[in-house]
Amino acid sequence: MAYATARSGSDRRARFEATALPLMPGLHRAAVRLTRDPQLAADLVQDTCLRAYRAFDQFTPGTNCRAWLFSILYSVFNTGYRKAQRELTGMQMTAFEVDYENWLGGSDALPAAPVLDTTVDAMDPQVERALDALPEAFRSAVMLVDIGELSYEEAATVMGCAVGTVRSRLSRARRVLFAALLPYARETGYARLEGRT
Amino acid sequence: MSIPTIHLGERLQDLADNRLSGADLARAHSHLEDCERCRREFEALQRVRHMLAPQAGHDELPPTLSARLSRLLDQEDRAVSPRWSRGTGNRAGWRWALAAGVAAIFATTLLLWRNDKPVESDPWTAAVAQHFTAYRAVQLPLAMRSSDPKELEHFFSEHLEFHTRVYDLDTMGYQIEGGEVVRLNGRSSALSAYRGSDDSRLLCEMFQGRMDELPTAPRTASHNGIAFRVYHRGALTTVYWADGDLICVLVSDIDSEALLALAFAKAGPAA
Repeated sequence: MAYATARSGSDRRARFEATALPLMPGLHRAAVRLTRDPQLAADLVQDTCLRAYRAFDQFTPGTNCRAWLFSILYSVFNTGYRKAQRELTGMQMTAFEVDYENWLGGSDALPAAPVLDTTVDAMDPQVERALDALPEAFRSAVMLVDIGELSYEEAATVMGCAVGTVRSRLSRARRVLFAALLPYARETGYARLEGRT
Repeated sequence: MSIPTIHLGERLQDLADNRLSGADLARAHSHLEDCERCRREFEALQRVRHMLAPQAGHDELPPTLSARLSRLLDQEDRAVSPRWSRGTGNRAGWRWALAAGVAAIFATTLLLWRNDKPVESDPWTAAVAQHFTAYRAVQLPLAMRSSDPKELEHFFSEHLEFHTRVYDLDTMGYQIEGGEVVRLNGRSSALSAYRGSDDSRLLCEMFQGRMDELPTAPRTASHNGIAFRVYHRGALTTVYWADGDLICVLVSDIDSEALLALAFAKAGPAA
């Protein structure tokens, strides 16, 4: 029995190393993006790895391990790492969407992207704040697709909703983010003048 | 040049996310050439994606992190080997839960957070409630499954740097199911899970902290010189109290007075 247990543990470790460990760099990239701190990102990946390893017997071989791991990462992040922030109300979301439509129908140039610190792949603090303010359903769509680089189908699996729901939440979230970040982009002089003709 | 009156709408997003191909892709590009509004929207969409997406060129784990993960798995293998032999039957029994999708944790979490704020004012209760919701939905994997509090205390002593107790609630109608080390606002927390004789659920968590870190409670109580704080979140009740340098919290959707009575009964020095 002892031999069987050791053998089973060894197989499990081998399967985990073959299936899950190769996906850790992608998780780490997302973790750095989410935490904006290399040390916290490492902690987050470590916690995720441990949680996944402990639950690995419940992972069904052949199913999407990346989506499974990211769902754990996102859960661990939300529970222990995310700085809680007041979320936008439905009215505030709508107001940003109106701003977006106004910008779309206007002639303002598209603001240039914020300059990022390239020494660490961290998100701009203003972008992070805007993202954090999104209601959970919308934030999760953005986090899974744009930061986690999951497909719509993978994100739908993680979120337990239809692919179309992912698409529409993503669409709305991106519009709101764009409008929410417009004043910041303008203030900081990122307006790209060459966009004007 | 004609001015299109029908815009691409969500197909713009499909285009930005590389989900179009063939004729659909060609049509979308053709439309963009003629439609300034869609062009602006497409650029805006690309800009948002650019701001969010991880930069390329970070495809390797830092070597120190690789080594940490390897050590972590080694430690886990050493600590866990007796546990696997004990838990095989149990694992088979609840294997379906994760197979059904750890992802569903998100669904329940989303519902909880969306319907019941304010996360921002009480992150402790929000996190504890999330754990409870996941546990209630059989979607919280318990690394250690045992009905023996002492065995669970031993498990926590192997995985935590602080000593924690595990309450025996058997005489009060709650049998312990197991435990897990979870994260609670960036701290390690010993989570013990209980099932009631009426199939109700109860979680107890213990983590290092001070009561003054908690937000103002809508209700406080005192029993045997111990101060309790009671919070509500939707149908859930959480009761916190201090035990040395630890904070203990009970969370459940049972009657709040019954939960407070359980806290009164178990708080205080170990018998």
